[in-house]
Amino acid sequence: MILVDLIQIVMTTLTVGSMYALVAVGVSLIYNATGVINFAQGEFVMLSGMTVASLYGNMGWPLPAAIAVALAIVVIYAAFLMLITTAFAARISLIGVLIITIGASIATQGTAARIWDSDTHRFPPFSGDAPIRILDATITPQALWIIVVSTVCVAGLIWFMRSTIAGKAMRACALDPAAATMVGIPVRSTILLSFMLSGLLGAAGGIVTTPLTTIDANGGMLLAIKGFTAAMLGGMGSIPGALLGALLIALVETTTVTFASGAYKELPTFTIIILVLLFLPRGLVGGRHETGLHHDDLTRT
Amino acid sequence: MSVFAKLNNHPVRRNTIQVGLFLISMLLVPVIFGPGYYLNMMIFIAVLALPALGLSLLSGLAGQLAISHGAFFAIGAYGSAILSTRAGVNPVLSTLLAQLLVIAIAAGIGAVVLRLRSHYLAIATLSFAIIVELVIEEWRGMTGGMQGMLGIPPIGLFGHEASSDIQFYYIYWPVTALMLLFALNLSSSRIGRALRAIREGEPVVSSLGIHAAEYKTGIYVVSSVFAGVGGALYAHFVGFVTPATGSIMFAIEIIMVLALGGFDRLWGALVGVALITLLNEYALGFADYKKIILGVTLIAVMLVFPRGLLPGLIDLVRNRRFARTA
Repeated sequence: MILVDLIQIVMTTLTVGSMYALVAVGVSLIYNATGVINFAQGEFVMLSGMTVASLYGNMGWPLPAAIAVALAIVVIYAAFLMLITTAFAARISLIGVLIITIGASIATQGTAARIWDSDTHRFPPFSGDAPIRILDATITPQALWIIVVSTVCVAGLIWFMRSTIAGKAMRACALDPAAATMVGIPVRSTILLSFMLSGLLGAAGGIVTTPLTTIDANGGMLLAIKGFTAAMLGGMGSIPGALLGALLIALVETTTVTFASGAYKELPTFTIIILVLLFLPRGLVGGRHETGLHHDDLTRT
Repeated sequence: MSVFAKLNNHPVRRNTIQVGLFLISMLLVPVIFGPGYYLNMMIFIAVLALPALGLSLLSGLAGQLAISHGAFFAIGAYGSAILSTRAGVNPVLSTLLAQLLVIAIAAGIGAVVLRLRSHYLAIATLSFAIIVELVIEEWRGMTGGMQGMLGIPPIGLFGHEASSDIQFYYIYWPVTALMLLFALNLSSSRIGRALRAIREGEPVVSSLGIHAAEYKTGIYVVSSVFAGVGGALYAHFVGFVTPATGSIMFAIEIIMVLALGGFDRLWGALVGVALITLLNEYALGFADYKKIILGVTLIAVMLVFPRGLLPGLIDLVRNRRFARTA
């Protein structure tokens, strides 16, 4: 294996992994807050990508304006998701919430296909196309954008959760909603915040990745599943775990594409899911310890 | 005690009578109403009822929601298609043989994923479904890739191939009725009770000496075979299969069927299938609108009637009646 190939693999893994990290961290965030796995997670990415593609790419809006609109749309959508998944929470079983998020996901896909169309879209990269050479391996500037933005977002989130009152409130709610309420934390608002942050992460992902990988109305579901895999691999509910899981998944994918056929690149990822569920139910880093409202354990007994 | 009340003491007898009456009425329908386009739709209902019944068994008895039914529908369809087109096997035989593949895969998957809780099971089965879709799309030599397979021989009995809708109708509805009867009897049997007990509290059941894992895997295999048979019958009716057969959207439609008809009612599943088929015909338009309507309806139904539309409505009617007498 030549050094060039190695560097190329590393670069691609970082790029793809950053993308998955944004989705996976978002999944873990919502799971932390509500014990729900959000099947519509990928739609955050899709919506923001499509919005910027049509506003900036097609209609010539300035990029910052397009980005602002995309973020706003996704945040509103995330709030709406929060409402439908937590309404009547007492009556609906976990399966019911699951079905609701699935329904939300496909409804969004259909709506997006109607508002825009079913083709793939992209818009021009932020800093142009000229590849940057690192020791004979190439990387496009957009990939650097992806890595940087992801790192900033995830680091920002971790800082937020550790150092701000609102972030600590989120962690408190995740640990024990009843106790949090007793201390005066508004649990519903905090859950709303979790959803919106999760949406922002996904939206950021969509905005930086679309110039490189294009987006289409149906692309969200596949991304969401990879996000789940990554989050589970690292430990569902753990944010550093989600990051780790995302990088690992990206690594597996990249090596598969490099050494085997590109057509089967999804195969290892989904095999990993099943292996993780079989052997590593707590994930690598260990998920959150569930208490309070959502006391499902990963396995039944 | 009335005749009906006494019948409840003998569930198998009751089920047989109910299904028998149902089948007789279904068989009389073409006689009364004559041939027509609706026959085509009714055949689809018979075929699609099978994966719906399968999932209903799984969710009603075991309380689990899986998204793998589309995949097993596809495995049954493609398996039977490949055997009958490439190996010249008689369609009835190939349908049965394809189920061997379904059983093997379902047993393998089931053993692994059934100890998982609701949403993890959903993710695992969804991943499995994606793998199946991928394999179907990429293994072009076997499956014809994105184009699918054409020219699948129609099902036939005693050497005659079915060549008209009426013939298919009279072959498929008895099959569906038989499988419905099987499902109903399974549900009222010791096995059914054991499964419901497992759903409520597995540790207790295990302490009584029941191997919960075996039961759960067993019902998963049974429900997957239902889907697989449905898929094979579909292939031999429609004559072609594509990667869209038994896709994930299909699996979600089956979930929709249960959301409408009730998650733990077998007869409700039939109602749900009829509704969805009607909707597909007359109201859903093309793919994108369908997704929107499907998604929104799923959300709405689950929010208002968490146990399913039909059970919810029945409860509503019952409660109103109760309130009036009070």
